Amino acid sequence: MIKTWLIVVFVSILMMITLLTVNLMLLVNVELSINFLKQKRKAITANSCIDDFFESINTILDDSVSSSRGNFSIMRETLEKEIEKLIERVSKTKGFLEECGLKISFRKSIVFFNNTEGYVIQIVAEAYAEDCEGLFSIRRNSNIVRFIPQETCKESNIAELFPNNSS
Amino acid sequence: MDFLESILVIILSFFLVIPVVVTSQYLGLEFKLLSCIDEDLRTEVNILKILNQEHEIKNILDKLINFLDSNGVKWVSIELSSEKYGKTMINNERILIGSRGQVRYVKVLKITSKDVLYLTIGVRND
Repeated sequence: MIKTWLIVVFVSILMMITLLTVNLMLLVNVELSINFLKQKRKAITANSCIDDFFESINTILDDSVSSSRGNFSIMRETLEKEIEKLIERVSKTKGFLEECGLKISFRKSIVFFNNTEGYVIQIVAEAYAEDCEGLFSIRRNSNIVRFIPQETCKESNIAELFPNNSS
Repeated sequence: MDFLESILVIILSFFLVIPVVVTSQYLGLEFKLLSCIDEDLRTEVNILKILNQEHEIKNILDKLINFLDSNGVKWVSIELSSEKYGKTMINNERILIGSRGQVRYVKVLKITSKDVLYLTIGVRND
């Protein structure tokens, strides 16, 4: 003969275990969602910074080409100076980005070369973003190229400005 | 015997209820945290849009305050600093920080060819 109180105990144990399981499952899901949103937020910040960096290089290159008015040496000087300033500025953001849980390193290389039709300026920008917790990393490259036709260059000694076709 | 049985049932139920109550409370807190992170993410994305559209500090601040107020974000302070324009700090007098003074921060960075803009928005934790 089963006692009444035993049924009550059994049913309540079953109910509590069900409730506890549901709660724990929900907790795991919420925790996963929180982590996902945190990572998404960091990825958005990193991507936005990298986009800004590439866009800034593009703007600097356009400004340097337009402000030099065909004077290649001035253009080259302005470009290198402004890009260095940009790199210096973005390197100062390190602390702020670390507070956001990110480490981003920016790099660039500028190559000047000439061909029979004109002069080419190529900037290879590279950014590497890493989550401080080591959960994700983003590596992006951008190849920014401008072609200056030979007839628009005013300088006669332009070939001497890049004897080895590179800088 | 009946008395002892009832006591046993009550004690057993009590020990079973405790973990359920604790996990429920923790779940409530986690849901609150989730909604805060979701709100911060949406705020950050919209701030980035504003920063991409506007370049003047005054316009940025106007649009930012308008966006925060219209979306019910309980912002406490806005700190905007840049190399070019220096530091600007705005406090929201309408939002009072509680005795615990819990404020979370939304941080946004905008890099341009001429400047770097650091934006920190303090949002009250409810």
